[in-house]
Amino acid sequence: MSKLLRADFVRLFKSRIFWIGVLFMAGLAGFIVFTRWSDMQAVPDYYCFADDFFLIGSMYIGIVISVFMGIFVSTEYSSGTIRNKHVIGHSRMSMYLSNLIICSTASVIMNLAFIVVVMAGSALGIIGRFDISTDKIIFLILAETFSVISITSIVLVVYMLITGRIAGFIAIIMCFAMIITAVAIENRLSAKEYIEPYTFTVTSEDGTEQEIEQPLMKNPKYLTGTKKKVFQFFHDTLPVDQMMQMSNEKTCDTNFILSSIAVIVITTGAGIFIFRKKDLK
Amino acid sequence: MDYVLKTNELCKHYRHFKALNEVSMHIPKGAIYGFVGKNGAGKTTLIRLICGLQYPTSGDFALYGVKNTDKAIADSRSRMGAVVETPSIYPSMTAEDNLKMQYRLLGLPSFDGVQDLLKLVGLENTGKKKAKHFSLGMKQRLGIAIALCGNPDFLILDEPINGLDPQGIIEVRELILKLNHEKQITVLISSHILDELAKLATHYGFIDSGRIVKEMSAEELEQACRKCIHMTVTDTKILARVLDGMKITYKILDEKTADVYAKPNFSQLALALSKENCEVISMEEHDENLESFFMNLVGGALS
Repeated sequence: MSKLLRADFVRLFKSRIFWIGVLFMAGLAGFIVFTRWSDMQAVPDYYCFADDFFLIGSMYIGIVISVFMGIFVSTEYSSGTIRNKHVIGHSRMSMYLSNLIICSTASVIMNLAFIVVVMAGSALGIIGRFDISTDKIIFLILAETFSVISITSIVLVVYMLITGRIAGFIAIIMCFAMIITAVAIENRLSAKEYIEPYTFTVTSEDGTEQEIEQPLMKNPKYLTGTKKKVFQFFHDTLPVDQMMQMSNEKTCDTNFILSSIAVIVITTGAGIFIFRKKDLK
Repeated sequence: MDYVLKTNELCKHYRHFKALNEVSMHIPKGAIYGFVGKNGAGKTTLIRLICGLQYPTSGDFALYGVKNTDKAIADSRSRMGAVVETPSIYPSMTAEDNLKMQYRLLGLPSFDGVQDLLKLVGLENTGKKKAKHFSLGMKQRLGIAIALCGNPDFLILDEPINGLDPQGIIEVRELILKLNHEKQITVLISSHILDELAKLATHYGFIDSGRIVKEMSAEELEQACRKCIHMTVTDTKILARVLDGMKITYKILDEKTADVYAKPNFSQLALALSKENCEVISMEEHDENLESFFMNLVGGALS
């Protein structure tokens, strides 16, 4: 597999789409740093901590790597080079694992490009300093790196097992679906048990206004019992959900890393199993 | 005889469709093996199985004596180069970078030989031009150069001249002959362009509807396709005696018919036969080429 890795790393670092991805993530971070700096200039009392958004780049990474892998991995099928690798004696498992390592490296570098630009903005005083400890910053970056790799492994399954343009379409839709699911789960979990009492005004046809008081009400979206446990499990396990928690709440523990490893192992194991049986046409 | 590839009752089924049905073929070392068949006859399917891109439903094959079920088949495959369907090239790379990529994939310690390979296939002057801007013929030659990295001694070319212009066809043909004659590389070429194959092949395998209908050497094919006079006489024993006397080669087909492989003086022949009480009933010129031979073999038109 070392031969495959050597060849594919050279291809990665010569790949234009990889560097476009890195520049996009760095540019995105630069744009966000600039908007926060503008806000700080416009509102005198506003102070923007760097840790408020240094991890939000990972929310976009799924889409970016889907596009990158759509070109980098799909080219192997469209150009027939995947056949060539197999013909000269590389096993399907080593081809799959090599692609996982290469694409994970690319995703992590793209994600780090975002983080580095935010950190540089903070170090240069363009935006505020970090409010959390260095140990926590390092741990969050480490955990997020595992989440990024787990998303890469999910997207890789699509590109290795489905050929043609439909693969790119499915991968991008899947990434959007993961973001939407993460937001939906977050909303349900953060729903309060009761809806606070409030008043609202109703104007009748003759112009008279009437104030209506709404009493304290049970929130139907509030989760309890097993349902809440299931939602919480997915919130702690799904990679985009983890990223959202790390980015918004700076919450993270070793379980995040363990569940990311589990996702990587399961998706890669299933991917290799099917890829070994696939006809490489 | 040493065989590079032997297949044994190889089958590939897609549900109820039999793409390959008990195919047994034998490719001798040093041969240019023309694999002839209509579109959809099973040529590419067989090549995919040999390259390990698909798995046989039943049957087996041996590459350099190593069975496909043996783990050592990967080592045997590393002695083989193949261009299956389309050339395996990275379109955004130059010809040189494509070859260097293949060297890395093969784990070769240096890039010595890259320039020689480019020269061999006539792509030494392509410079920084990317492969996606190459003509079809150039892509095909680059594909062959990639397949030649690591000095394989067996080359598989699937429809290598499909879509090429006459110049490209000549270039690829000359390259294949050069590889076979100068580097003793055994070549398997699948094609349905029979006139071209006839200029190259030393052995033939004819496939139809997933079955090998005939395997033969170029000499045997030449014999079968040789120009001759097909004669019907009252007694071929007398005809044989007379032709022996005239030192003319022939082949007796049955008691009344024979093929005569020369153009004798027909008056003298008829007179000599008449003296022996043998009558000539009919004579017709028989001229068969590879295409008509193939069509007689499998029936129908070539697509």
